[in-house]
Amino acid sequence: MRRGPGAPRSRASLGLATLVLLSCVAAPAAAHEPVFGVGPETIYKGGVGIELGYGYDDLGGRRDQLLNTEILYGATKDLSLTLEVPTLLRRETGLGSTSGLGDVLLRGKYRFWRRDRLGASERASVLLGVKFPTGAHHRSVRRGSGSFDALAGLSVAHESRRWYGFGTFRYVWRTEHDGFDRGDRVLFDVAAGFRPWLTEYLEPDLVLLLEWNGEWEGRDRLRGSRLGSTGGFTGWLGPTALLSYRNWMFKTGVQLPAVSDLNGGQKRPDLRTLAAIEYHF
Amino acid sequence: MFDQFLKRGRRAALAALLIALGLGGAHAAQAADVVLRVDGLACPFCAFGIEKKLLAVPAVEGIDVRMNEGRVILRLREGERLDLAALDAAVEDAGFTLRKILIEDAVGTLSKGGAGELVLRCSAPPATFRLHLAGEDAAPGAEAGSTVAVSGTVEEYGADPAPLVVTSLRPVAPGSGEETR
Repeated sequence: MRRGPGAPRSRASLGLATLVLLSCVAAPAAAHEPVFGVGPETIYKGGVGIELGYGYDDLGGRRDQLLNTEILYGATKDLSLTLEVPTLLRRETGLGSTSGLGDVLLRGKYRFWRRDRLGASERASVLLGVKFPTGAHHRSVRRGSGSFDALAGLSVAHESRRWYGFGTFRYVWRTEHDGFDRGDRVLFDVAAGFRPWLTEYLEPDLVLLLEWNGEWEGRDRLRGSRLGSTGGFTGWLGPTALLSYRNWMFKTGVQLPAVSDLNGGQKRPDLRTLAAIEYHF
Repeated sequence: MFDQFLKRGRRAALAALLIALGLGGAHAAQAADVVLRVDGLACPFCAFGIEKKLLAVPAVEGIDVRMNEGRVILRLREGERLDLAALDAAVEDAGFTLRKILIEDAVGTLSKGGAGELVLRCSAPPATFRLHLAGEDAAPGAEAGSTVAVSGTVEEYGADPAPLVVTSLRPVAPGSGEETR
């Protein structure tokens, strides 16, 4: 059946509006994937997931307490949409502190390849996303970049009853805002994990992971001039755990900077932690 | 008010006794066992999608997921037609692969199909299967008009009737009670 040209657009707008509305009235979502990284998993068709996470990051010159809300929707069995709404409970820097809404991210994940076997699966997905400048950025302590940024990436995973393996590559293009152009970012995540007890459905299920997250950031530019003490590379490493029961999952992890090669006189980051709860319906 | 409570209690006790004696009405037809062999079932959290999608299929009343065997055992709703294509779609929408459907002890009446093949018509669940037999010797007594109990696998879900590769077939004696299945 053919529909009018406005129908798909209005439906898409309605879907986006619903996601935004849900993010305002409800709490948190993602799937069985790394805690600090992203995997290729998609939620079932028509499924909705909500995730509420608390994070504490000590990044040397900046300390963040973050409440992260994610809403996940399975548009098809292979396409998931995620709306990520970060709220800074407190950000402290040498210049002062702030709290409030950060930059909202809308991410799409399309699983283009899947191979299922008895008790195991391999999957691959492409990632595309847009970050909106919703966080305040005209202050001494900023909550957002002020720019629209784009994200593209590729994620692959092997998942079996016993073993997990994830690999993800992401590139973030950052655009200029008020003459300030933050450096692009390259993120590459590798995670390996295992399930100590092969539990059945409707039993508590634990998966332990070791995650590596490499983050390279280019130098920022102010009206075309490169800024010295910006950008560089940090390689985060740490254990994470996923504990689930039916459609509930609790996830937590801590990461330390195993490698830190930052430009100029930037302080070395200390740690980052995350605890989150996720619900699918 | 206390009298009403006593009356209700007596009525419930009588109903329980009648059911225990098998006098509570018609026998519920006992359905065949239907088991899905699903590939990709690795994590219980992700298996929630399969529960959600299969329970939306009208014939499915409940499921039992066996992660380590890659099996989903269905409890079927009485009287609802078993739509195998809908089961396949439900598993696919959940993000998994339906490898085969195992039918165990489906009791029905045999008839001849248009191409001369044997067709099994079951009442519980209401479903029709086109039987694929390894040979005539594999199923002695498999003739049109007879009532049989059949087990086998289905690997093509779109066809109607679905082709059932028979692994066992046995005649059911009239009056044995099995023909109500």
